[in-house]
Amino acid sequence: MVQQSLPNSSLPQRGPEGFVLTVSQTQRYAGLLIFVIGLIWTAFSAVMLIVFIGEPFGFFSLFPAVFISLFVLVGVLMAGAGLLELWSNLKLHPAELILPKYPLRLGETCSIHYRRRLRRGTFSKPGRVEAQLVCDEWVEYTQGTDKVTKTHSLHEAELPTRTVVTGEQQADYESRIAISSKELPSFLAKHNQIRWRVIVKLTVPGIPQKCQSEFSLQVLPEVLA
Amino acid sequence: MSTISMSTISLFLDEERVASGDRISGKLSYPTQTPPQEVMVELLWQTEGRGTRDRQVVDTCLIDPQQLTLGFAIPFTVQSPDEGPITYNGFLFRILWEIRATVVLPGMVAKKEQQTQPVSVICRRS
Repeated sequence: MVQQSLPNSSLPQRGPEGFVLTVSQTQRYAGLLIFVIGLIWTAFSAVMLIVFIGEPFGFFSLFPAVFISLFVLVGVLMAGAGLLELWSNLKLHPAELILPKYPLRLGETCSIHYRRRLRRGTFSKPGRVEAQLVCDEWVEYTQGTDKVTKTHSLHEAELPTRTVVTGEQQADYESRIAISSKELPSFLAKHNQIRWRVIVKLTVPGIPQKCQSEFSLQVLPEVLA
Repeated sequence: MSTISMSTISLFLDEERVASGDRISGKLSYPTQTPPQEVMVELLWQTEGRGTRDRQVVDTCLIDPQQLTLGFAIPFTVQSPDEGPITYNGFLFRILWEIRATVVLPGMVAKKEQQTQPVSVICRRS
């Protein structure tokens, strides 16, 4: 089977509203992961720093201490970023994207409905939803012991920006996406991919992070007449 | 242990360009008086380019080895998948489709001959 499980999204669930895509577990818990890595990084760097500071004062212990301080700073920033992401996710339910039909075909136009609900209360200030439809090539290869990824953009379309209305419990965004018949169908192998995605950014005062959700779309190699 | 030797397999395709989801048919001939151990025709795609190679056999057609001793070309059919991929020549990688015929010769040491023929898979029209 060519199609691996779609990155960034769970498989769509068909319901009365249409096909509902949600973000993957990986995206959902990215904040927690970054926070934990940041904590471990900071702890490890702090221990190294204490060791160097504890050394008898001398020229040769000063520079390593300054250098290691930078690592501590990086760890703190990482933990901070993870914490902000976690905080945003605690305030909001996972995002959903609803389509009337799925998978999509080349030459097709289709409506999309994004929604993201607050866990408690309503939006007290207006916010903004921005969205894009993108397609890119993605490859992964090994260079020495490192895994390297590269992307090349094939298609990028900005969708209209919408305002999040105050007093509502969820941010709703509706638009239409068009996939030209001249574009390429999805291809999702392990190391080489052609990925279609809808990227939605929700900005709301009171939620520190710009909440970005990516939804992978499957586009079949079929051109609509 | 298996060795691959210079091939005397002949592969003929009815169409070298098909739409995704179509069947690909052709004929295979291999001059022999002794039936081989195994004869198969596979349809596969693979990538080339910057990324680590991905490859997948999507369909296999097994041919009765006895038929090859009759002296005429044997027809085969394989099925390309509806979901693709299509043949693609991109910036970071390419997707190539091919038909691969394999004849495993009889003997203690598994010797096989292979022959490939590229095929182009395009989007189908509805």
